[in-house]
Amino acid sequence: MFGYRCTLRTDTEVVTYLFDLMLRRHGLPVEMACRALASPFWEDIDRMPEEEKELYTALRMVYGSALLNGPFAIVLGMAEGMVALNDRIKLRPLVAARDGSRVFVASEESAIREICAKPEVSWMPRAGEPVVAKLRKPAALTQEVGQRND
Amino acid sequence: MTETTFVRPEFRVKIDREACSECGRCVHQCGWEVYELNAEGRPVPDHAKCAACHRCVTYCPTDAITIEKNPLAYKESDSMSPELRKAVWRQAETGGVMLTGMGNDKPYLRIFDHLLLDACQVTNPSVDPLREPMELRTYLGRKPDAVKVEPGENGAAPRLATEFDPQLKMDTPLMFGGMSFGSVSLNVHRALAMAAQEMGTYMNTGEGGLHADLKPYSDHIVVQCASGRFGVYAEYLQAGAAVEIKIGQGAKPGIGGHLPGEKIDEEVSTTRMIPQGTDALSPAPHHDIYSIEDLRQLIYAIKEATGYKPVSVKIAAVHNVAAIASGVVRAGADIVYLDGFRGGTGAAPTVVRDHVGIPIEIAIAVVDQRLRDEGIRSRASIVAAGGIRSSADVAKAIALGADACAIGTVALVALGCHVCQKCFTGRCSWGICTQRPDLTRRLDPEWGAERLANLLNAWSHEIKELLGALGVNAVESLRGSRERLRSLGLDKETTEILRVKPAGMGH
Repeated sequence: MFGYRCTLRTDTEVVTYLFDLMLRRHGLPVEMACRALASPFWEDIDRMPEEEKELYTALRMVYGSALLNGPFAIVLGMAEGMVALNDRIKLRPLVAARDGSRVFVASEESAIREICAKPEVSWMPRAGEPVVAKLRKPAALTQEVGQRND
Repeated sequence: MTETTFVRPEFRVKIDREACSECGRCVHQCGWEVYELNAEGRPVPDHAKCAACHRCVTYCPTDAITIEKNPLAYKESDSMSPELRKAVWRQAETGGVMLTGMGNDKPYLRIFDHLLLDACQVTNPSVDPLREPMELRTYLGRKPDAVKVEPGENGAAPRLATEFDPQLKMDTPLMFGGMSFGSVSLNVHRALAMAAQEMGTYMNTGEGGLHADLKPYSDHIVVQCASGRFGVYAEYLQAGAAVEIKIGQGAKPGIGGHLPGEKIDEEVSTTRMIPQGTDALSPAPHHDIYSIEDLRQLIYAIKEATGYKPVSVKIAAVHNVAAIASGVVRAGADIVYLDGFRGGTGAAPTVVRDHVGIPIEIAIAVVDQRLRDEGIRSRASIVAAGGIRSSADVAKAIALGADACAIGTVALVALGCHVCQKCFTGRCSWGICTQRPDLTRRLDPEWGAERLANLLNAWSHEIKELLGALGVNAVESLRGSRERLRSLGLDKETTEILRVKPAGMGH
């Protein structure tokens, strides 16, 4: 569908294609793509200020089939940074922390503290609320691969 | 001397003489004139006139009446059933086309009853609809392929930069199908309109125009433009929330409509804008639509006339339905309304009702698939009708690819219809399919609206239970999700057409 062919038959593969569709092909900001995958509830949308309500209603109307309806916590790496997201009713755990210019995400805070004992802040993102960490200078993909090889 | 008919009565009316208080209520209640009081004041039934509609049974104060099947035995014959023999006799007597009402009653395979829904166990948690939000809201209409967002200036929130065509917002994926004022009574229309407004959904005028009394509900009314163009004028089109072009009907694909002059009283005549007492004949085709291009002209003429309200195109489920639906979407329809071969009617030739068209389950599956394959699924919503009998059917229809379902027959059943299939006679004892004032006054619109709203509420709750079991909390997550269906007892070709796996096969 939409020119994608699932070969691994995993939900991770589907999520990757959905991000590709919305970010690369439709040009949506990553925060908005996340709001399509883990949409707020209609009763919350109805309470938003008019412009925001219009936008969120549009997102659900168009990307309703992309709603990842079930338990998940995912991390997406991209050239401009990374984003972590969990499902709209927080059936899977997600914790985030920041220490200086470093951002951590994990299922449990203990995992973060294992590599950063005292982060400046740590928090539990709300259901469906994306944690977006952007690089100051977006990395070129080839360069990233090169660095990894060093 | 009246000629003896070979067709013996289908039912026998039994009156318990000891229980009967001889109050005469049965005489008054029966629209078929089954009963007469004899010299002693006792009701005497004429079995041949009985339609088994149970009006007298329901209102008999002493429960003295029961209706039985006529036990008359016929010499066994597998090929010449008693029904066939009776049809031959009747046609030999009259030389006419056999008429009937409601939907196809023949024992064809009921595909819905061979489809089973999935549920979550362990790995994915199910959701409890009594404790968690469960969303049924649905928008019908053309959606853009993508949403464009403009970044907000100076760190303000991003703004929507895509224009949307008007949509029909539904609080539940259920609406009422087209039933015209003329075929049903004005009180039925009033009840449907009130219930639609209360439940945040829509009723559909059918092709009989919009009675002035319904104007206050017009935000919840889809107005129909059918081949007879009855009651169609600019303000009518503008009054509705959407306009439906009716090309075909599941109960009688390929043929027009016929409302007998007896049902055209003053009110119907005014609403339809035709003379009183004349037959209202809807041609089989629209005489200005002989191609997809012609349909496109009408769709856009209506859009221009209404300031671009959603236009629905209703087609009967026929063999080539997928290609037809694709053409309908390309012609500019915002909604494709599919009507399956079990759909109801006020009147249709029995031979057409019982032998023409295909099941709605198959039509949904092939249309959804075709539109997806062609990359135009987002351009139109799919409404499925014609054989939706329960909330389970709704859930299965949505899983097969429908956006929403429409109900007609079951809405009338909620109002008291007992599916006696005599709608075309205009003598409905329940006051539903009639214009006789002494009968239509039996249906209190407010009472009817409450029953209809109750039905939609009950089904909505049941759909929420099913969604919860499936582990999802929004109805759009079920739409087109055939992976959540399994077939039981369907042949291989049918499961392949439906693209549903057989029960027992995992992912």
